[in-house]
Amino acid sequence: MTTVYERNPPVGPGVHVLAIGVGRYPYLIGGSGRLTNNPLGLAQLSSPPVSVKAVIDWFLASLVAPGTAGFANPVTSLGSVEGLASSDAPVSVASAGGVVQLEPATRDNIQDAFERWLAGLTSDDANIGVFYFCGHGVMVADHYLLAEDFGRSNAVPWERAFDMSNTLRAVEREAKGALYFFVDACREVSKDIALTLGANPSALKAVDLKKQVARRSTSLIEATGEGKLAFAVEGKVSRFTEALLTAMSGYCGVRGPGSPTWDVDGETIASAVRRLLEKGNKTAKRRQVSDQAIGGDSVPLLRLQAPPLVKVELDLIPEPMRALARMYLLSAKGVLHDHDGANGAFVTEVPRGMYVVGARALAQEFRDLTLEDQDLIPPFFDLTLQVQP
Amino acid sequence: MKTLTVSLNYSSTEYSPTSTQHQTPLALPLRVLDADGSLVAEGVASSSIPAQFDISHVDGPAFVRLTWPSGKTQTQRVDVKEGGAAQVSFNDSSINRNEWSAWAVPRLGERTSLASSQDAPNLRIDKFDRVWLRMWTFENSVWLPSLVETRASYQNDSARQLDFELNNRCWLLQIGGANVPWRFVALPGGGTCRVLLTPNESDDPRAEPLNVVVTSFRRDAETLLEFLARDSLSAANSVAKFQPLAQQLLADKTEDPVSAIAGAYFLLRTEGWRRIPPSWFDNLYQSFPWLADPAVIRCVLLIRQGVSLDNDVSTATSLLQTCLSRGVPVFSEGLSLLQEAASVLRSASGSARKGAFDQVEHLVASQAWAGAALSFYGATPDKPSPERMVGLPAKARPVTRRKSIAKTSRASAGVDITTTGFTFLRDLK
Repeated sequence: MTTVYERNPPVGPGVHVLAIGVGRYPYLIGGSGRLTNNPLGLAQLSSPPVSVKAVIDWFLASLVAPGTAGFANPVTSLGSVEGLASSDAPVSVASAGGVVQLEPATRDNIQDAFERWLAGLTSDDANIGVFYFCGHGVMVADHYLLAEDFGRSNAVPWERAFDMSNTLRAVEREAKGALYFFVDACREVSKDIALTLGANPSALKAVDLKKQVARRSTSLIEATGEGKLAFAVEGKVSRFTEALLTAMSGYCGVRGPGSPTWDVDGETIASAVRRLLEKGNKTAKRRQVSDQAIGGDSVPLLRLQAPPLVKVELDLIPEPMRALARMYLLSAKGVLHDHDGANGAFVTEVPRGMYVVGARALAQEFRDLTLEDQDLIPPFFDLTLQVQP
Repeated sequence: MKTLTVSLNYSSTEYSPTSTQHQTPLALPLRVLDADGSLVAEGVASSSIPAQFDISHVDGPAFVRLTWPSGKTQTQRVDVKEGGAAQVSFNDSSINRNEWSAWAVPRLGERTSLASSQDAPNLRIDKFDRVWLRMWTFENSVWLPSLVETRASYQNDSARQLDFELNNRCWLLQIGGANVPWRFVALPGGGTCRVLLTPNESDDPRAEPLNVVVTSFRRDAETLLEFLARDSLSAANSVAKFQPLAQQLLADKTEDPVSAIAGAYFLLRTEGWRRIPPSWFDNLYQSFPWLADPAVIRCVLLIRQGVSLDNDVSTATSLLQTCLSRGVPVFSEGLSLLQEAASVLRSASGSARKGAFDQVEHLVASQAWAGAALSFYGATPDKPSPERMVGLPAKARPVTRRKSIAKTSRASAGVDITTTGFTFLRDLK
């Protein structure tokens, strides 16, 4: 078992995390075991172990090193973290009690970890559950995720996978708080092939139809569109997970009327992740998108003390004019951020809010450019000002 | 005290045929923010009712942000002195290039050429002249194809728009072409319906080359569903609090069942259904047997409130089958609920993938995007398929050649789609 963290004493509402990363698949292409009869074209992955470690590190950051950017919620603090990772090299994370080596994400280990997670999640009506998975997945109508030992048996290969969609529907009937499911799984098995697979993996918990849907909210945020690949640079945190962690690290949030904190709920995270992936698509060789399904009330996962930041990239064309310009952002509160265009584009970070955005010519080489009342919404704002000939 | 009045002067979006029965005004969500971007107040303005805000506790300027279903926002600054009142007005000058197409702009991407006066050569609709269209209607449990018959059509460089008068049945518009995958888009029956086709400007890798936008002039209900389709729940909640819309839509169901369905979908998504008398949903299901959506709404309601008897599982399964025996839902939200219902009922009963369960699985796997309207890929409505085909009906070919689909495209419901009529987009008058 890999309980990475457990709040002691476990009183009051908490956020309970189950994080799973599967990169090693012994029975799939390139694996160390006997190749399964139908590997579906799926091979080993280098990103999931790195990605799951990044997620767990992020949740534990403020416990391990107070003041570090990471999970923050003064109302619902971290309750527990369960972690599993499958990789050729062991995956370890630093917890408040020392370094913990994660156990492999076999189907049995996933089941055990899930049951511990669910017990923690249902211990208080105001608890929040976070489920994170990075690895292979197959999308038919529902989403099936593959454990490390998928394909161990040729007779029942799907026995070592699980039905994420029905797992979520089952948890919705057990937990009364909010649920956040982040699924970073490639779905490159085409749907017409997937329909003929005869796949029928069980859920981690059967849906009990006698119970009513009890949860307050569900936020399911998934990497890639259906039938598309989830992308990662070899051995690095995947693009989706990177966008997710960036968004949650102070680059999204809304402060409601009278609220002392900037709150981050599923809709806010989904929007920020989508925009970050879209921004990455401008330079990436392959484009990636995300999907989401949000339902119920808004229950924040994070409550931040400081306003969220906006990554700004302000440029000016034609390029020769940029060197003659002073670009600036003037907040509605009167705070000026400016930049000498001779040093290139203006790349900075500012608190969200309303700004005047513009550029002045150092020696009247062009008429000043001014855009009033620009609404700088996290996570980023990019704009290219154009000097008219 | 400082008061703020925000009006929405979007008169061009009201343009509609005289035969329209269920027309309602456009209502869009507003957020009032302070200089930090903190939320001060939320509300909704419609083209007939302005929004009123008390912004007494705002120190300094306030900013009013209007949000379209597409996600585009428009923000205006306002300075209000203590004891004063201010007015802000959002107008449609940026979207009314053509009055007839203005309604669709808030649902399209923010850079749509429909909102631009500049010609975009690569986004001209005449590139799609050889796109073909065909109507399908569900009669006596069978999907029947027919030629497209329009009441009116409109055209500019970047869009074609078609008006239909549809009776009380399930309707699908099928489109396809050499580079346009064959897909169906559900049209709401029981009145006037308008479809706008325009080149897709999205850089989403899933986007199809031709965008299809549908309205039946129920602008409040459609706005609600467009926000739901994009998971913009905070905006949907604002729109729904306006009057309050969802309960009213459902209470008025005998007048307009399509709007009632929109209200029910919103209540199911936001858990508001618990406040609604179950008999309202029952009446919606009983009174309009030509609509598939009420059956799946009632089915999911039964499942979500927890079944008390084994009999309830049979009832829920029967409702799922009834939904499919009525055709397909009008809205994409209905497909999400079909998936939820089929999946939990199949797993709870240990049933095999056959019958209604198999049908739903194929429909979900074949889903396409048309905003709030249900859309799916396939050659005939009864054989949805995730494998995308392009070409003329008699020359179907898969987008990626994994296997021959000629046989699939011909053998369905006794309808030979290679000989069934179709109309090229360029020929529609």
